[in-house]
Amino acid sequence: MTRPTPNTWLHLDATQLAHEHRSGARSVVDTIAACCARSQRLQPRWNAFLALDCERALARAHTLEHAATRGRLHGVPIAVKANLAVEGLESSCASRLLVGWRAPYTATAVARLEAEGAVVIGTTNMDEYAMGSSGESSAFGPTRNPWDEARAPGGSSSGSAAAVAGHLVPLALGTDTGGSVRQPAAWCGLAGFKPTWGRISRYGLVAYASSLDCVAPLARSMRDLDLALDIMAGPDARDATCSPTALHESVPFKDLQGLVLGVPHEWRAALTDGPSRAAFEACVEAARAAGARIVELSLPLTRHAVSCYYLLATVEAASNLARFDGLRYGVRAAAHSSSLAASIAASRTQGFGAEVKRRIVLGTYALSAGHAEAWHTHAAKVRTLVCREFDEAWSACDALLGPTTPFPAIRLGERSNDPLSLYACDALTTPVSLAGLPAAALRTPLVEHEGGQLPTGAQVVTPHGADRLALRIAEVLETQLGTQALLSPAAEVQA
Amino acid sequence: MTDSHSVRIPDLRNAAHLARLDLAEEEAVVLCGEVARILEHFAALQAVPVAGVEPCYTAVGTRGLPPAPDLREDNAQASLPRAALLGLAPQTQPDDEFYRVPKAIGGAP
Repeated sequence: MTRPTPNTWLHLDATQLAHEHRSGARSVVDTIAACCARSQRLQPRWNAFLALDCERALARAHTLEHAATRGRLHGVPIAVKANLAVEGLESSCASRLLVGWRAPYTATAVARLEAEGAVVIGTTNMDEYAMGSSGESSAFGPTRNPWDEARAPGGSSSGSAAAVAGHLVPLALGTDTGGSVRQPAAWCGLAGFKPTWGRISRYGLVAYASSLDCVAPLARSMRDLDLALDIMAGPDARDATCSPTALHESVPFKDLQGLVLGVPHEWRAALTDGPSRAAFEACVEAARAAGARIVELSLPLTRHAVSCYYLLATVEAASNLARFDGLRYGVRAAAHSSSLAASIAASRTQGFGAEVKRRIVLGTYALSAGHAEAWHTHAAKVRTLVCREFDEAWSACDALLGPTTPFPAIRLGERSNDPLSLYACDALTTPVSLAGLPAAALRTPLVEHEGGQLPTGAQVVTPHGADRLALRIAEVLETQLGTQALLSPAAEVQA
Repeated sequence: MTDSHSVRIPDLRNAAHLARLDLAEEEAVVLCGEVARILEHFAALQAVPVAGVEPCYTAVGTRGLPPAPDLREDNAQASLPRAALLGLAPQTQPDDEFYRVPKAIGGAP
């Protein structure tokens, strides 16, 4: 499962790396310089970053090297999805309309990581405005999966996932609206965490679907996700939707004794190939071996989750993306300056990519007069029913366990001309998003797939507010499965 | 799917117009066709009975963690520097105090 590599420090997770920096065992400047150099050299290979700012990162590393106060992420290099604002860095959302846009302030989630000593080395590639499941809708070319460069890393947090899987950084921020962190985690062999909706401030996040968007970390260990959550969670006067409810304190579990895990029949049945089924069943057995009681249950609305999610998300997106008009920021279409209306339409038409236009038209239609009741309102009512299904599940179990994706990483281009088949990648993540629940994405065993070895993943879903319970269970499962030290072949790639 | 839920291409083209997308004829045909196919697939959702069910539009307070209990005090706070924001604009007035935009009144619709 694990592979030896001469770059031993590249194996370290953020927690250990910060410890070594704090103790003086390792130089912050050396780490940041090495990460920047590796990221620059491997950029042509994986296209993980949209903007790398090594000068800025090294200047900060020199400051931290001699700092009297040493935080929990002291000197840890991180990468940030390009829909989160990092002051001075280009945060284009992978859109032609925002190319060159440098954020004038920093998102709260990023600022809190920086306050603990994290060093942002760059902003990462993504599906344009977080609309995609493969990373292919980026206006700046797709990101490649470090496990198999012919395959997609998943999306929309494609670059953040590739940066962690490629051992460019140990920790990265993505966002999860309908699965955009959990799905790339599964396809890139990573740990990912979607918090309860409202747990982490979204100030400084470019909104896609506001009732679903969550800032979410990707890492190579569950303890790093827990640390990042602990640092980022908490009320923010700049985001009224951010809850003041405190995280539950907890220590890592030794086992799962006394816990009941529900396995939804519909989630298990969604797995389309034998090896993926076997990997998930190994995870269920691991839960049992760790002392959990497994119960089977049913979430019948799973089959409608993708439709429900896409109707609601696109309506919200059509509204949120109305702000992009090429007037106050972004790129204005030069040829159409005869009138305000013509300029706005030309800027949007030239600036948005095909998938973004598709979703904006879909959302505008679903909310337009004469159609809103049949599409948008109906979907919102189905969302209520989806939430009720989860509420009922909590009377039978402490947490749900299911696969994260129906299949392993797809080949680049395999589904890019078929939107519906791409949306199907989100079949198992969207129900959780609709209900606003926390979910920890963990690594299950590698599978043989189309002639190669690929990662698979499972998700532990818990009730609202029980974020840490999901992480603790996922940590035990990875330990039981032996996937906690899973390293991608990229760990051996010399920069 | 009932007739009232059927997807008409002219309605989709109108939606594109409402969304301020200025699609060329060929692009409109392709895009609206794709959206129509997606909606026809999503129409299976209509079979889910929802009589008497309240819609869920947000997680605030009902689905998820309780929101911040109070609005913050209505006090003046420092904003980002004007120059930093105007510096991001495609066009500003020469004195850099205002955004410069195309004619809003009397131009082409």
